[in-house]
Order: sequence, then structure tokens, then C-alpha cells
Amino acid sequence: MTCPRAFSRSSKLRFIVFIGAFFLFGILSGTSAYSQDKPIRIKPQFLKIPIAVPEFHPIPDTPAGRDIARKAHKMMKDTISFTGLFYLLNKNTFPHDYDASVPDKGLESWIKTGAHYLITGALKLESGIVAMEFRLYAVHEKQMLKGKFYKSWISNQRKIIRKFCNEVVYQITGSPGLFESKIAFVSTGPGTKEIFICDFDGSNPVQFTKNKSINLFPAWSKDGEWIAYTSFARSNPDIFIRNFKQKSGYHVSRKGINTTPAWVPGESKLAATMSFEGNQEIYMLTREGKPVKRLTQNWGIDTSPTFSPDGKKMAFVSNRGGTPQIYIKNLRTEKEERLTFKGRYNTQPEWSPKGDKIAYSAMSKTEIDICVINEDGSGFSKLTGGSGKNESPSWSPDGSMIIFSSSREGSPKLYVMTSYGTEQRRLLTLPGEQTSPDWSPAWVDQ
Amino acid sequence: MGRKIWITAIMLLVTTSMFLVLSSCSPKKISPGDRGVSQTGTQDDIYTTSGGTDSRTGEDMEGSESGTGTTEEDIRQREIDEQIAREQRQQELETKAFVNMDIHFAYDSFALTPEAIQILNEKVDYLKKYPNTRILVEGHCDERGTAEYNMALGERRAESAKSYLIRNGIRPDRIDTISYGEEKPIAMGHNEEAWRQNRRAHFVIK
Repeated sequence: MTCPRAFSRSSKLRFIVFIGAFFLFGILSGTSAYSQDKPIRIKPQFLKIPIAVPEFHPIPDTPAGRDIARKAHKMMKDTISFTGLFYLLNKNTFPHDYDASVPDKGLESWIKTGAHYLITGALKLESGIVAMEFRLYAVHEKQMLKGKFYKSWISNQRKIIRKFCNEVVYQITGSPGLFESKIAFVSTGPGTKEIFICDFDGSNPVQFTKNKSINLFPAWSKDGEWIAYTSFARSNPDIFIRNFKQKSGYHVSRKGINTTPAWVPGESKLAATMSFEGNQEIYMLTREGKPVKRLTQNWGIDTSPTFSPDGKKMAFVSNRGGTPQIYIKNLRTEKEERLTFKGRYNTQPEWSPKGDKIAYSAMSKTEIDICVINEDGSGFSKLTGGSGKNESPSWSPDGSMIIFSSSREGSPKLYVMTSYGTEQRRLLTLPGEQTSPDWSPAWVDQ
Repeated sequence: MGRKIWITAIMLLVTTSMFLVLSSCSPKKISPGDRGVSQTGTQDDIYTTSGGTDSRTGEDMEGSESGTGTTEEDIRQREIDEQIAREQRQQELETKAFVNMDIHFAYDSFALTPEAIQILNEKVDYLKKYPNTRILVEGHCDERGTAEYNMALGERRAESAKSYLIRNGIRPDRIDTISYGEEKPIAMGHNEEAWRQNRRAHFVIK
């Protein structure tokens, strides 16, 4: 009898604290709403670039025009905020005298809002064809960094907005954006493991393999034209190298396993795990699937190759030390060194396209988590935690994000996060389990 | 010496009576085979209508004729037929046991346990008794590891079973292997018992 009373007392206390916190929060947010005249200081922990995207200007200013402009505006905001690079300013902070029809008038009034950059847009719709003009301003410099004019069918609007967002990222960071990239992954939705492809943000999922067998480990070539994967379609675990656009390709079927294809940056070659010589080793193959060089020589299991962006080093998994761990091989000196020592099961290495980090999955007693580490073994960081199996990391083409599969909400689904592990969120909702994601290069031949 | 002869005679008697008991105990075992024959007959019937049935009853009558035959030749023939049927049943039972008995492995290991070796010895006996059979050894893993590594580990498991069979006198060309990694679990749970069952090498007759 004492237990429930004690419980109710503590819950009452908790309620009072909650109400108190609510009021305090209300007061704080109230004061910040009045701070129009003072510049808003961005908290250093954000590390995000403040950007303002005011509503777009419809020409002519009709209800239909406004509707198109509103949709385009939302698309732009959703796209630009996807990566976690930008902090989108609330429209309450925008200058009152901003006129979307003359965007460059009064640029200095944006300085007060705290925005470093400003994106403006104007749209004109005429019998199914939309003309769009977007501009990117550097607010403090009071300068237009990029202005673009597009004219296309309205159905291409999303594509155009993504293209401009790539321009924005390129102008600001110097590296191309990821808004025209795609993601290949495995889904059990159709009843068997099939390979699917969707846009970077999870939109437009399309089934790529339809053989009702087991299909695994999709890997994009670095030119975005080929996908290699392992399939049991002809009963043995074989590698299929397929042209993404033409659907033609090559079939690698040696005795034993043919798994974990991984492309070499800047070359039309790929490495894979094969066992036709009796032991699981990593081989270099031509794009046609012909093994030309054996890259590992060890009695243990060697698998899961991944290459540094310059193609000079390869990280891979080996159990030569007793447990599966990640090793790095210098392909010129042939020297091999063990990279991971913490834990008894470290697999699925993925070299960042920036070259600085290697992501991998580390198994503990209760869960699997995504970790990153520098190639010299320093800079270890665990990016996920406390939530089931987090597996198969794959970097976005600009290295700013990581996609992975996680069972944190039950059956495995695809999630994305920044390369620092922040902003973890579900990418898409599809029936079945989604695993083994692979992020394409920045541009995919569509 | 005389005692030895007696013992062997008794043993023979016991074994033959055992066979008789076994065969009388399993009349159901005979019927599927019969049904199999009549099924093909009925399939033929689609094309030959009554013709097919006629010829079959003809055969049956022939069979019953020889069954009632009393010549020494007939009796010997009947004994041979029974012997063949017995051996077929025996092979069926042994094949079932061969296929149903998986060997199991420790976590992240492809080493053969004493239990696995005991089961593999039975497989060796079977393969020696039926030298024309060819088999496929499937290597499987539990869900805990990662899919890429498990594809390799599954192959290691199948290969360690295969090399034990080879070391014990089975020709390598009779044994194929395949790895399914963690892709084909038989126990669907997410607990130690399910994992134990899934870390296995499974044997299939080709």
C-alpha cells in the first residue's frame, strides 16, 4: 500500500517541476521573440550555418501562382535543411520590409537576423512550363554568389530545386552537394531480399532486382553508372555487375562465395571476396568481373574491402587475430596493419570520401553500433548507442552524412545522421526490413 | 567353435525376425511407393484413357499370378523382391536421418565439436554404404554477426564438415558446399536457443 502512495507523491512532484519548467521556457522564448533589434547569437554547439529562405515571389500574383510558389518554397527548405549543414532561420526574425519582388533591396537589413546567407526565388507558371529564378546572397558581403534561371516542365521542379541546392552547397563549402545522389539498399518488402534504389532523401523507392532470390551488398561504382551486388539468383552466391541505366552487365560465378563488391575510386575496377582458391580472400577484378590480382594472403577470413579516396589504401575485415577486426593494407608497400583493437567484433568498414575517417560497426554484448576512427587509429568516436543493432554505415558522397540500418524501432529500417552522429532520423517507411544501404556518388546517370 | 556357430545362427534368426517385425510394422511405408506408381499411371491416363488402366491391371494380374506361383524360381524371385524393398526402405530411413541431422557450432567458430564429429561419423558410414550419393553441405550462421562476415563464416563451417568427410575416406568430388551466411535461419527467435540452432551445417542429398 505504501508503494502506490509514494509513487503518486513523486509523480505530483514531477508534475510541479514540469509546470515550472514550462513557465520558465515560456518566459525565455518570450524574451527572445522581442530581440528583433539585437543580433541573434547562434549557439556555438549548433556549428550550423544560419541561412534565410523567405517565401518565393509568384508572377503573376494569383492564387494558382502563389500555390506553386509555396510548394517550391517548401521543397527548397526541406532539401536545404536535409544535411544538417544549415540552420534555417524562423520567418519571425525576417525583416518586415522585405519585398520578394526586389530581393536585393535592403540586404543590410538581413544582417540583423543573424543570417549568413539568403536564398530568394521567383516563379512564373505558363501552360505547364515553369520559369524559376533563384539567387544565393552572402549577407555580410552584400553580394550575390549565384543566380540561376531555369525553365522546364512543372514535373521537373523538384529536380531543378535539388540542382540549385547543390549549387548553394558548392558555393558555401566548396564541395558538391548530395542532392542528386541516390541510395541502394536491400528490402524484404517483396517477400525475399531484393535490391531497391531511392533518392537521397528516401523519396521515389524503386525495386532494382526482381529475381525472388536473396540479393545482398549493393555497391555503386564511383561514376554512378554501375551497381555490383551479390545474388543467389543462380543458386550460388555470385556477383552481378549491372549497368544502372541499361540493365546490362556481367556475372561473376567462381566456385565458393563471391561477395562484398567494392569499387576503387577513380578507376573502373572493383574488389570482392572470393574463395575459388579455397580460402576467403580479397581479389581485384576488372569491371567485367575478371579477377586480376589477389590482394590478401592469409589463412583467416578476409572480407569487406573499402578504399581510401586516392585508391592507395584498402581497409578490410580479417579474423587473422582470432576475432573479426579491421585492418588497413597499403597497396603500394603491401604492408598490413590492424586498425581496431577495442571490442571483439568490428566489421563493415567504409572509408569516408573525404579520406579522413573510416566508419564501421562494432558489436558489444547487447548491441551493434556505428563508430568512426582515423586511419592511424586515433579519433575514435561512437556515433550510435543504446538502441539495438546499428549496422552497415555508408557515407554520403560529400562525407557530411552517414546512412545505416537500425533495429531501434523494431525491425531494421534505414536511418541517416550527420558524420558527427547528430540528427539521427528514419529515412523512409517501406514494408519489410531494410538493410545494407550504399550511398551513390554525387551524381547518378538517370 | 561349435558354440560360435550356434551364436551366429541365433543372431541371424534374431535379425531376420527383426526385419520381419519391422516390415510388418510399417505397411504404410509400402503404400506411398504403390501410390507413386498408380499416380504416374493416372497421369498417363489423361492421354491414353482406358488403355493405360488396362495394361496396368494386366501387370497386376501377372504379379498375382507369380505370387501364387509355387516353383522354386518364383519363391526365389519373391525373396529377392522383398530384399530389395527392405533395402530401399532402409535407405529411405537412413537418408532421412542423414538429412535431418545438422551439426552445430559455437559462436563465431567453425571448429568441429565432439558432438559434431559423432554426427559426421554417421555421415561417413552412410556415404560409404551408398557410394553413388552426392551431397551438398550448407553452412549457416546466427543473426548476431554482420551479413558480410557471416557469408565467409558460413562457408568455413561447410568446408570444415567437408574436409572431415574427406579425411575419413569420402571422395572430394562427391561433396559440394554452399554458404547461406545468416540468410536462411531455421529458428526465428532472437535468443540463445534460436542462435544455437541456426549456427549449423546442413546436409542435402543431390
